[in-house]
Amino acid sequence: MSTLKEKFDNFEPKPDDSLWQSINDTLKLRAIRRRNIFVSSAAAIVVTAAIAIALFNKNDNKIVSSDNNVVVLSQNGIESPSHEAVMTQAKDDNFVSQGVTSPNETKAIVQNELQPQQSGDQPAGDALIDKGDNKVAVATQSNAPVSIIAPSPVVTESIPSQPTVADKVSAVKPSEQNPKLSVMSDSIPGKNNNVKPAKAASSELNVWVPNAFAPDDPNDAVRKFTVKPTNASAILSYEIYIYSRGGKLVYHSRDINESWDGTFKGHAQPMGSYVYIIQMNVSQKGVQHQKGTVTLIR
Amino acid sequence: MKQLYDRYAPALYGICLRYSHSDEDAKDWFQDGFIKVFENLNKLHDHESLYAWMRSIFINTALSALRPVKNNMEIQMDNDEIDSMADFYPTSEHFDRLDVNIILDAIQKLTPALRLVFNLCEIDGLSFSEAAEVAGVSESTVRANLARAKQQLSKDLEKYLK
Repeated sequence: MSTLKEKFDNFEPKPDDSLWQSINDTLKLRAIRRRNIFVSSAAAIVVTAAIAIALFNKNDNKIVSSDNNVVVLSQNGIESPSHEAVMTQAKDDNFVSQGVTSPNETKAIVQNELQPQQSGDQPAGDALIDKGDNKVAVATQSNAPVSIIAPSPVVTESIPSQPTVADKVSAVKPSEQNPKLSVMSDSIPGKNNNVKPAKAASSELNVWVPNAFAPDDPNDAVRKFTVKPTNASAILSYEIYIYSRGGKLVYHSRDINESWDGTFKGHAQPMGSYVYIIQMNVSQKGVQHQKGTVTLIR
Repeated sequence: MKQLYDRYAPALYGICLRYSHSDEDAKDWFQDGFIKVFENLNKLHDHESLYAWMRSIFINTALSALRPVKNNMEIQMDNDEIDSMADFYPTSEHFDRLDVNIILDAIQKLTPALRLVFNLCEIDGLSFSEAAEVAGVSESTVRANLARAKQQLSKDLEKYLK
């Protein structure tokens, strides 16, 4: 007598041969699928890693080169770009350098796609280097009330005929004969990069305004945006407004000795172009304005 | 691999058949079971328990198909009612006489919940508490379902027992 359990213990019906075939086929198919997924995952990982490395390198270069792009002036000519790495500026970055008024100077080199707001014959995006003795300055793309920054008391200078909107910025060693030109080290990216405040050659300038600063830089001189009067005693009153590209007022002061640390209400402001407007009452000159852009570098 | 299959497939197929409602279901679970077996063979260490291991894979495969059935479990009955139902259940003698395929047919006709519990308790020998754990229901539910299953089977097999 078998219990039900025993009955079924001996219940061993032979499955169809087709089932074995089907099992085999499925096993092979799954193995192939697994391999494919593995391969494509591996490929995806490799690609992602490559992108990450490229971005990482790009950032490195960016940080490095951004120091290099602050102001570039030379006396006699512009050295060709010594390295491609300096060039990799993102499109969003607007770097503006301040032109120099001296007619014997050569150029300011400006980074990237700055659209000159005023001059008609500026080709957009061309990497022209001005070899003439024109002043060059370029307006930024921002909505901010910017115009050319010329180191003169007069606010809006028209853009000279030969603009230098360049995708590449060449760093140029300062000429010793132009001690008033600001300096950019062009040698080794990341080493000896000094961001120095721009100084105008003209003695008519009331204040010296840096065209870039880097709040994260260990170098104190570079860390803050500081306006320096050419003749402190002549400044009877002073007021500065700094706006972001979007038109937001990020800094305001009536004290020329006060510096901007690149924050707004305690928040570090992003890298980019900012516009400053300075109103002063200068003795024997009256009310003076000075406007320009300053680049915040991080 | 084919050797393994040839040796154990029939028994495992039998398990699939009795847990399933139809031969089609049985075939599906059977294939799923073997795929799992072959893909996980490297995880098995103890040679002796190969069959037990495979069996549990197959039963689990069937279970996962049947487990959603939990909500369809029959309502509980009290013990008296359950006991009274036992009278009609075929004895071992009866089962002895019956062809296994006929019994199989009757089992397959059971509703999923009844079939599950019947298999676990009556054929695979799980205790009520073990079956309750496996099915995810209470012991009393298991008991009630088992009683119902037996009742149903008796009805179906009656004609063969005359």
